[in-house]
Amino acid sequence: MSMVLESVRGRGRALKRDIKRAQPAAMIIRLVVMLAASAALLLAYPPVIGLQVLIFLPALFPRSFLPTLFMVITIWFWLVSADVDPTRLSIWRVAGLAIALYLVHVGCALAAVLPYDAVVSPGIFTPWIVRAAVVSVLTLGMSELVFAVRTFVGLTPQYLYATIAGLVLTVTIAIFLLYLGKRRQ
Amino acid sequence: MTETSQHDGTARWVPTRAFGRAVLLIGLLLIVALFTHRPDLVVLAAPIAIGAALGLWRRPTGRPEAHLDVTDSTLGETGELHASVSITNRDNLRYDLVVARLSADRWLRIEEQGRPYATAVGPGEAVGIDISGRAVRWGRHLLGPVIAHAVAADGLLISPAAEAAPVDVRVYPVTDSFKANDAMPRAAGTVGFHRSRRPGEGGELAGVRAFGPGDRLRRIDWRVSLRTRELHVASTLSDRDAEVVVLLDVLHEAGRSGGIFGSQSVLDTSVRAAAGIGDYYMHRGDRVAFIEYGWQGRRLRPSSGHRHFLTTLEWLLDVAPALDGAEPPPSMVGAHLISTNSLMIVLTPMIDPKSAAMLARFARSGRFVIAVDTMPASLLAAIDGVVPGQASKAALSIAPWLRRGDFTSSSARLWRLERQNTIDQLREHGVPVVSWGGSGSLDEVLQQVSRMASAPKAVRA
Repeated sequence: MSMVLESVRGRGRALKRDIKRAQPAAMIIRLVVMLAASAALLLAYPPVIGLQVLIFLPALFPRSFLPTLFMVITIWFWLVSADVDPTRLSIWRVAGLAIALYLVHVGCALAAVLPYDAVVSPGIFTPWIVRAAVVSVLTLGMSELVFAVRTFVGLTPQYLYATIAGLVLTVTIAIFLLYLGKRRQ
Repeated sequence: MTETSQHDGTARWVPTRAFGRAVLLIGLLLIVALFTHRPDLVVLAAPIAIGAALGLWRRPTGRPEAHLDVTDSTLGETGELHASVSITNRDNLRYDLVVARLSADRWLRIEEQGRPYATAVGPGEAVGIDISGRAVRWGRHLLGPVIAHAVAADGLLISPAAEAAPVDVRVYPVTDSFKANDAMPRAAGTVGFHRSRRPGEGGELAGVRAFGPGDRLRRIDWRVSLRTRELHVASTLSDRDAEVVVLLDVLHEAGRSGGIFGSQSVLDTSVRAAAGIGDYYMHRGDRVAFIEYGWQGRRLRPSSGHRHFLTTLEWLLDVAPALDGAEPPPSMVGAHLISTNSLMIVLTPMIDPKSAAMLARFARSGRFVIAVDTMPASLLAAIDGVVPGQASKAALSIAPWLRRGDFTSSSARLWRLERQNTIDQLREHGVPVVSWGGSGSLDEVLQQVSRMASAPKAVRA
């Protein structure tokens, strides 16, 4: 029993030391992940008491499988809620959920490689923010296109294949834009 | 001094967990979209796919390089350390993030010690990270290695490690302030500052004698010459240099070293005292030799002057205690290696009975020996102040091991009494034992030894 207590005390001391060493930059990244995860849950499913506790999974354990699990759970909630209530299928909700999930994904990618106690040079997050903004704008554009076509064509299998083709086209356009930008430099 | 990265050329960039997550989610969402006819799932997959495509359309082919530069790798205790870690990107795309970790010896207090450094490096660029700190204890300390990883493609790829080898930083000990009077048992060198018993040019008057060929005219004592009607000259004793042998007893280490700003251990006291004693006598022209009484049995030949002092500081860097208290064989450290005219100053904590036996051996062989007690006074006071079975707060702060077991404090007091008994026995056999106190702490024993040197005695070879 005393060994268990000593082990718990040791973990407590280690946690206290880690909290003291934590740097603001790494904590801000994890806070962004939490906010994005919270937004994703609220967009995917009507608010339920206790559901928001899931937002700690990707923020606290970005290097593990838990961010993936969180995203799969959130997508599952979306599938169910949109099936039950088709009025939730609106352009702003779908685009917002896509962007929120993307921010969780890329925020966890950054938090996984940035140690919590790292001394950070100024300006290193700027390219990440710019890239996330570009991807968000392209996602908005694509979702506008998808819903616009759906309004005209209707919900047919051909429409789905066209949507996937539209995704491939969007990715190609994004790469081409990046290529043009690099050439100008 | 610069150390550059070493790496295996076959190592490649590897995907991160985020890469696997992106592939899994894109595939899962597209498959579910196909089966459920839900185009909104394709929109959910879109940003992940676009982000992955933007990151991966140009992949890095090179790898980062790490360099560690130290401005000055030779310092004194409390000296400032300045170093620089540079990360070079020889690729043609940006590294989104580079994380570099620098290891450092505990006696090199680096600002932001133990924290990794994160920066970004553009294509074809090098970024420098300035490191500053302070050396807090003598010895050879390692700064480094530096291990760096780069991340690219929106966090989807991570590079193999780039490593810069550690740099050896030499920290010379602070010389304890030391001064002594001119008393020396037998100054038998050539020219120096100590009074000897040999006639020659010097400041000490030996007597008046008849004028002889070769005597200098200004030495003529006119008063005696007029009285005796024969020329007489004042004869003097020559001033000669002496040989001092400093022996460091490193059989054991005791006490906790806190560096230059904290408590001193036995080795700290011994090394700094040796540097102080050597500094004083060498700069006065005396020849000083050093012997390490430990498992290495190292010796430094006698010499004088500033150059030898610097050699001594370098020699002191490698002083290290024996792991099991093994003493060197007599062939490595024995009386046959020490001149009968030299003064031996033995810096010893008097922990091991072998140390007392060594002192007695040198004394019996006719050497002039002074034992300097380097045991920290605070540790002895902590043991002295302990009531059997109880340890006060002050004692526990200095010696926390007094708390272990019911009989530890009593055993410590017993050991203390036995040690004092040994010291008293050494004194009875003509080996003065004095605690190290810096400047002037050896004056009395030097006078004592000088008086004993002038007295006739029998020696055993």
